[in-house]
Amino acid sequence: MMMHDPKTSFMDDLFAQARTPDAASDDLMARVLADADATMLREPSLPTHRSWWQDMLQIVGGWPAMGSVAAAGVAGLWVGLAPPATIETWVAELLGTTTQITLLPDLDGLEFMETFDG
Amino acid sequence: MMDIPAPSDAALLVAYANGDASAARLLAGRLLPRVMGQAVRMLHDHAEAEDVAQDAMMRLWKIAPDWRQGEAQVSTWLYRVVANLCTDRLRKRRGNVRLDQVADPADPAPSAVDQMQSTVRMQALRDALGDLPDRQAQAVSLRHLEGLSNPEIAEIMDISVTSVESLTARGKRALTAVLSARKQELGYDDA
Repeated sequence: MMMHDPKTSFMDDLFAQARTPDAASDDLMARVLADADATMLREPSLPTHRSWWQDMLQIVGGWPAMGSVAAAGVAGLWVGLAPPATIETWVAELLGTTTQITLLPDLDGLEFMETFDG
Repeated sequence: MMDIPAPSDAALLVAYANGDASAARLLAGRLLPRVMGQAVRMLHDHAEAEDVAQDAMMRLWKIAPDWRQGEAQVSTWLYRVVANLCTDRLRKRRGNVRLDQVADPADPAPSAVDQMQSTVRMQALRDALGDLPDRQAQAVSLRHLEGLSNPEIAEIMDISVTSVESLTARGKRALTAVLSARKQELGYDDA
């Protein structure tokens, strides 16, 4: 059990009276929030940490430019794999001839094996 | 249904720094009453306490972009700021308005007498706190007015718990010595 010294107990009473809570007024709250808004507007925006990819994207012109690049790539692939007849004719007229190169003739592998067998 | 945990003070401060004004409202609603209470308890002057509270909160808004989560608690940091601001004001007050300059009411009603008695007591406590060395005044205020534990005070004041015990003991002893001489004046009859 806590003992109270009668000579100093008045101090405990003083401290207890001083501990009375004091709420913040609406006016003070409004001023503090106005400060918060003003400070937020005044502070420079935080540096954003962008990746190298975002930097590159910015350099080439952002997402619209990337869309064009992607569309051109897809078109090029399509023309390469399945060229329309008009393009084949135009290329033939332009270059004079069409050269066909067979990289894997059907019997090359067997002939190679026969060489070893023989 | 699962309860969503409330965001921490530090998380709200970071959100504010990133431009979330609603975070500032939540944070002010949480912290301002505590800040104001501490300032009033140390200064016993509502207008001055409001100035200190606004100043302390302004410092919080300004430090928000540089706040590093996990290093300190926002509330601990604020306790320290308010204690320092109040100590500065108490120091400046020394030798200014004293108890004998408080006028008596012309025809005091009982409640008015009580109120006046309370005002005089609080002013006496405030003056005595203002006469203490700064560190003692802070430690005594945090211990006896804010009701914080010694380890909490040690963290706020960045000193050891032993130092806190020493500061609060010496501070309370000094306060008691000063105010004992004014016990009758403050309405405390000798026991």
